[in-house]
Amino acid sequence: MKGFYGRYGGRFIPETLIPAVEELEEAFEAFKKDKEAQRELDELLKSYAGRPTPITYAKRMSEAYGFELYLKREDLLHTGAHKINNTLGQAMLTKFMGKRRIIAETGAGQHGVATATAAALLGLECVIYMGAVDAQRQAPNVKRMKLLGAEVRIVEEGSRTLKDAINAALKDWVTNVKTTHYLIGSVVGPHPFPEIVAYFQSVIGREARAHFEEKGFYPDAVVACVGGGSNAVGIFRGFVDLDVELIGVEAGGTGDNLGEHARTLGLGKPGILHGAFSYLLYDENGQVLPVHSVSAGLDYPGVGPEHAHLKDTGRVEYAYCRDEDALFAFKELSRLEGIIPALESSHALGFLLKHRERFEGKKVLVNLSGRGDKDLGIVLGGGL
Amino acid sequence: MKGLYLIAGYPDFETFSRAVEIAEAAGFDFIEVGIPFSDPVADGPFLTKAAQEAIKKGVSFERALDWMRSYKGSLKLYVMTYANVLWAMGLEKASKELEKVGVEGVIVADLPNSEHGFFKSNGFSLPLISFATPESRRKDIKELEKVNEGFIYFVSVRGTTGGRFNPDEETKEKILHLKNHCKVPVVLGFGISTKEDAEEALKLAHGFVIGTEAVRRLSSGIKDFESWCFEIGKV
Repeated sequence: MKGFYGRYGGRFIPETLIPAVEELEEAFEAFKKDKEAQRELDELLKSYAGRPTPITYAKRMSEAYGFELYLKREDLLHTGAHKINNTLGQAMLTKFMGKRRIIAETGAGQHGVATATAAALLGLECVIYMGAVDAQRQAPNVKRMKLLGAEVRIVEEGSRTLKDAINAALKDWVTNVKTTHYLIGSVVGPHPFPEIVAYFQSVIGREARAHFEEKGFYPDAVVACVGGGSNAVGIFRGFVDLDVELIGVEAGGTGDNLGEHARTLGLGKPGILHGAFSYLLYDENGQVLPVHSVSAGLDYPGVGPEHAHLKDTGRVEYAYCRDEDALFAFKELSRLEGIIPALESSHALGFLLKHRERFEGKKVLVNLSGRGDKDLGIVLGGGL
Repeated sequence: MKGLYLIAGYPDFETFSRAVEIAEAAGFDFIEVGIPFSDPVADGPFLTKAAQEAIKKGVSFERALDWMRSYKGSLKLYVMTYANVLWAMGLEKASKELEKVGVEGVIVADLPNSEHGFFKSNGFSLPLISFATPESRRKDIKELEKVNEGFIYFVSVRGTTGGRFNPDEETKEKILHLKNHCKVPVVLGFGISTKEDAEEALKLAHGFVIGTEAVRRLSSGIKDFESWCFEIGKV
């Protein structure tokens, strides 16, 4: 069915937004076929964002842990995370549609910074919604967004995290739909957003696959962290047709009790939030449950519908990493490789370190989706 | 067709029941019983906050159902909620239970007309109310002309609940066109709060429904709600 991944996806949004998502879908199809637009985007990704990103063989960490660890270095991109791949693409799409204002939600602030950056570059008005809890724990990114010319609106409703920032952005969009594009930061939301974001992020997997093909081998496993799931979809799409293990790592928080984790795929069930039918953490009355992760970017009760489908088909294994194991991996990669990873990406690494026996002697590719400068306050302060 | 949206059990079930009685006495025709959801993306700040308070006090699908089962008045009952509240109950079961207590139809704020099929194919058989909006295109309007159950809920403002009722000329034309070409009544919602708004709405459409202002009045006291209700009811 159009707009669905298996049984997941759809457009569960107020009727007012339906013409806008249909307009977006048409613009996206035209954009994909427009050679000039594609060339322009490729040029921006290359000369502005810093693509292609290298793959680093993590020699000391590999020796210490008994596997062969390769890192896809999205942390080296301009603004410090994979988010820029999507924001440059969607900002171009905004202009393509003749709109002049973009709004976005942000959790860790990486997507907000990447959106504000693309808006500055392309001369678009930009408003970023951020939960009050996140704005506090990722304060440097709030300053960055403002410096880049964006207006940051702090959201005090609900749990005051990523989920509530998305609610606020949707409410803005329904009010200003004529002039505004909602630049969603992950493979979530109503169709066609999950497909648009996956399309712009799949450059990660394409580059990674080409790299290994040049070397003459493929990794045994590809591991990526999953909040909404954009960096994971981005890298998985390069390997999904190969005999390569794909593992998505969710935020295990401090435990499996209510409100202690963000294991949407691990402990949730199918439900409807933010425009899509996908896995969701909610109670017997349908109310969305509170979640926790030390990482603001993974602190979300939903997940992209493509992941829900990949879970049900069994093509991807969805595991988890607790806060403490992610914090350990954060420090370990810094110490052994001179690379400070984002707390989000540290979940993929932490899972690997925790299960080192399983990966003994294996070649493992981890998507290092972002750098960790923004997290120093949390890590050195002992965590939230 | 004059309607009020009230959140089930808000501020408490006793006050809510009393408010429904007042609405009937004041001349209203139907009540939209709101079942609150934690993440109501179509609602403005006031109803969002009220929904959260209601959830905290234990208002749920089951509790709303209990109230509707015991309702003895003559107002027509519709339910207004969000998709996940019904999904969580099981769509087939939710539909049957609501039908049993006499609900005429269901308004799902995050279920656009194009996803009605998703609900129906999962066993939801009660009428799902179709939406029109200022953004509705010619092709949407053609589809709405075929609707033969419930009513057309015309969301008269771009935005969330609690905005201001001030439809532009293009929107007014859409409302009047639907009024003249649809098989079911056209009811205006979102932003209507005063007697003047209600009068204007009745010139354009077959009816109106008031949400935010009704809940706001009720939260400030039953007396205030009662006098306001009788003023609007005379329209």
